[in-house]
Amino acid sequence: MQAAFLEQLKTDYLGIDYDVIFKSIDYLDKPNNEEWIPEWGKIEDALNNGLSLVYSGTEKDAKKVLTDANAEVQKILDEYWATHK
Amino acid sequence: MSFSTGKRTLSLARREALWAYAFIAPWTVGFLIFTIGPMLASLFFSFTDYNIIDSPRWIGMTNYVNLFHDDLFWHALGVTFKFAVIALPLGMVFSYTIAVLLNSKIKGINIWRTLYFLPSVIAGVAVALLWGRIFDPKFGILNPFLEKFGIQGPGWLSDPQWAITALVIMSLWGVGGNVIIYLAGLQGVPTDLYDAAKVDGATGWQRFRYVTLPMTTPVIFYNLVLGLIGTFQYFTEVYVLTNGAGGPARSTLFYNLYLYQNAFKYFHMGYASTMAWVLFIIVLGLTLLIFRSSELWVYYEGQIKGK
Repeated sequence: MQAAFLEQLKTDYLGIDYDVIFKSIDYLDKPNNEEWIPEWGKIEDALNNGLSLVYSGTEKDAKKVLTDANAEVQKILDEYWATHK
Repeated sequence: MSFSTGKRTLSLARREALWAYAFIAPWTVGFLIFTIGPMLASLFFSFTDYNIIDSPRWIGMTNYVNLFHDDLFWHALGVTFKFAVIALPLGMVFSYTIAVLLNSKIKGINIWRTLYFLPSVIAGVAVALLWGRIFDPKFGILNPFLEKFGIQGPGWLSDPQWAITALVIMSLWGVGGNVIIYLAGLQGVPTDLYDAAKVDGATGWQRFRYVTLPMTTPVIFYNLVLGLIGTFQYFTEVYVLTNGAGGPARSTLFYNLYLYQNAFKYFHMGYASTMAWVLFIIVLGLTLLIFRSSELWVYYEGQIKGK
């Protein structure tokens, strides 16, 4: 029945990679799929700061926001790996 | 008149001492367990790498060295100092002015005093939620009120340029506690000093400048010290208003908020303990500075200078 349903979906909705959808079911109980990232809390705050800079209109240069956020995240990770080898 | 024997007096003194120890024991035990204990523990943790789950690992002065290389530490310290420099003097002047006004003989004075004191008994979280609504640019009442005067109100808590100002305004609303202390000080000024000043031909301003102000400097000093400590411990309101993020764009990332993030979001307990001790040293230093300066501007009635 599942196989027939999948075949019907593939016929009705072309061009969709159904593997992605079905395999994502494995992660339903892990809503935060980046949880394995070291220093996730710090990185989340760094990224949210980038968004806040854009939303508040403080920084209008998107490339600068991304570059700064990237540098900050990289620094956090470098510091983490320096002490967790 | 009867005198007790030396032995009996000693026994009585000892009994009194035992009773005294028994009465102060609940506070002393609580102080040792819940204040001194955690303080000593945090001092130890400040020299460790501790994430709550694993055992603390001794790393010496590393946390202290890292702290001084942490950009966010300096940023948070700057935000706190900025707030302190604006909010503390403004709050002191504002509360003193209200206290002077509430010290005058006007109709319904007790009602006015109650009204001004009332906000200070409201919990910080409730105050923050209330002001969060007031500052809301779309649904709040402040910006429509300003519009009546042709002023386009800013996004108080969404604009990094205005966020600290909004918090300062909010802090001014809760000065009732200070007002009561000032009021007590003002009412303690001997009336004969005012009478003597009047006989000497002093104007209202001169009586305030040369009688009221000097006589209330000990109260000003008291409020200044407590205000300084309170400002550096500023946390609840900003945590509630920014969901613990210190936004927008880290403009309200106060020292204590960053400390909280390190402890309970990043689980860097050792680092957070270091921050707590550095804050303690900063506040202690500033408090000692105020104490030292008090010799120049605080006047105690009955004090003999140089003693």
